[in-house]
Amino acid sequence: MKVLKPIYFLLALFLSFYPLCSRGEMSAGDYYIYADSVNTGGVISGGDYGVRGTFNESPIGFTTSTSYETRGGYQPMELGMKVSASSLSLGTLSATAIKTASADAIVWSDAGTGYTLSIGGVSGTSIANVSDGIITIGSEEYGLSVSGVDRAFTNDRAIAERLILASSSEPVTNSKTTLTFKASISDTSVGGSYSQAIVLTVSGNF
Amino acid sequence: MFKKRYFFILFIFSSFFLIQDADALVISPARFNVTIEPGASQNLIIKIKNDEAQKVDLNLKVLGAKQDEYGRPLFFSGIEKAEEWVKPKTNKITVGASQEKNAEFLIEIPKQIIPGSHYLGLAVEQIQTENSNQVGLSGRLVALLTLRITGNITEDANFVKWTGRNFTWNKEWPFVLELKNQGNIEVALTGETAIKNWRGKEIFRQPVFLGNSLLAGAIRFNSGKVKIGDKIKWPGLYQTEMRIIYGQSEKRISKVFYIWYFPKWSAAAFFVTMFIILRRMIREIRRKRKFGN
Repeated sequence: MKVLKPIYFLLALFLSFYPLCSRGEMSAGDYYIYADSVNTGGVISGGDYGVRGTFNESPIGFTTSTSYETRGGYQPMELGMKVSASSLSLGTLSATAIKTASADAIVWSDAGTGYTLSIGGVSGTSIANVSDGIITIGSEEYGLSVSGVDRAFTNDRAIAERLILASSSEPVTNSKTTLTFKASISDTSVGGSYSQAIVLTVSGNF
Repeated sequence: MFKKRYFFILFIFSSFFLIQDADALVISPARFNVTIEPGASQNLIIKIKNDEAQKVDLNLKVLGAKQDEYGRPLFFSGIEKAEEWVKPKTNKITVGASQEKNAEFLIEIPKQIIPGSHYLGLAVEQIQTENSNQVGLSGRLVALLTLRITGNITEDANFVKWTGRNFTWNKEWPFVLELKNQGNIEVALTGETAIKNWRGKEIFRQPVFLGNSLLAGAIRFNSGKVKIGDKIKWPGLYQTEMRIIYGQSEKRISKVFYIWYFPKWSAAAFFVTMFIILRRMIREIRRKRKFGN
């Protein structure tokens, strides 16, 4: 019997570690825990209740020391943007042509809900904004169009705060949206010098 | 053989580095979900990586967040009382070329705050220098923050609109859906349309993608088409039912609108029948006029 004791001990130790730490689902008579994680969570359901989520998630964010870094939590981890130009010039505006200038906004996000690119702020002065969806030669109009797979509209729009330029409901890698700024003036337009500062905002989706 | 294997492993490793993006501003994490009690406080750290060839000066801001009708986030100043509860530890930060830095935000929840979710954006914004006669562009990266104040939570989503055509002969039946989250927490949505005959017997169902979570107080708009294909052959009155399951408690709501469906063949048959009847009537009238009673 004494000989068997260490074997029982080893067997118990083995069984206590073996399946539960690797399984994605636990169940009993009137409940199951599906996709459980180390610190509990997933879907718990029973006769009268059901809970889905992650509990007691800790630590979240970054935990660092001199020799290690832990990026904890179940949240999407990275969002990046590159704007190809920090300033654009439309040159001297004309009543016989539409002047254009373009910049690319390149976004990547590993958020499962995708991303949204919008205008976060506009300051400065400009000529009259486009209001009919298309900038026409000989009319005083200013606006922008967007191109790219995630573009939010297909016509010319006035530049305004919270104008959504592009969005996706999936993670993206280097999704490029080209912003083309356009302006035209009429023969009666008043001469002057204009400048604008535009903030491009990118975030994941809730 | 060994050399070949070594080369293969080296190739696999190097391919990871080739995928990495360059020359940009990156934040991480891009989203926080924080459940916190009234009166409690917590620190959040956003790591900012500058892959540009020069240093960048950044403003740190806290913005209120809303969803538009398609579920996309919009950021405002002064729309959320929770904007007062979260502050950056410093308003400005400079990140050197090819360097990383942490931006810290402190959450301090006042006491006596009622339970529910609040939505914020933690913004990292490039400081822009204005140039004359030019359009200046700068980037702002926003990490989403969902602040859940502990206590009693109410999940309550309802239909604002569920409509479509009353009459059609097309095989695609357009619909318009509007949902409102009247609860105090965001809810995940799944939906499907079910087509039933006039007696209520289900003929088929079709999933409807309703997008990401619907924030508390937000409205979700969805317009689409039910594609009936060859599943419905006969003309008649049909029910179009929208079924939605929402939230962690998986509550179910549904709404119905009715549609008269006349396939093209039945419309053609109807017009031919009407034409024949009309022709007979005209003949009958003419005959009566000619010969009297």
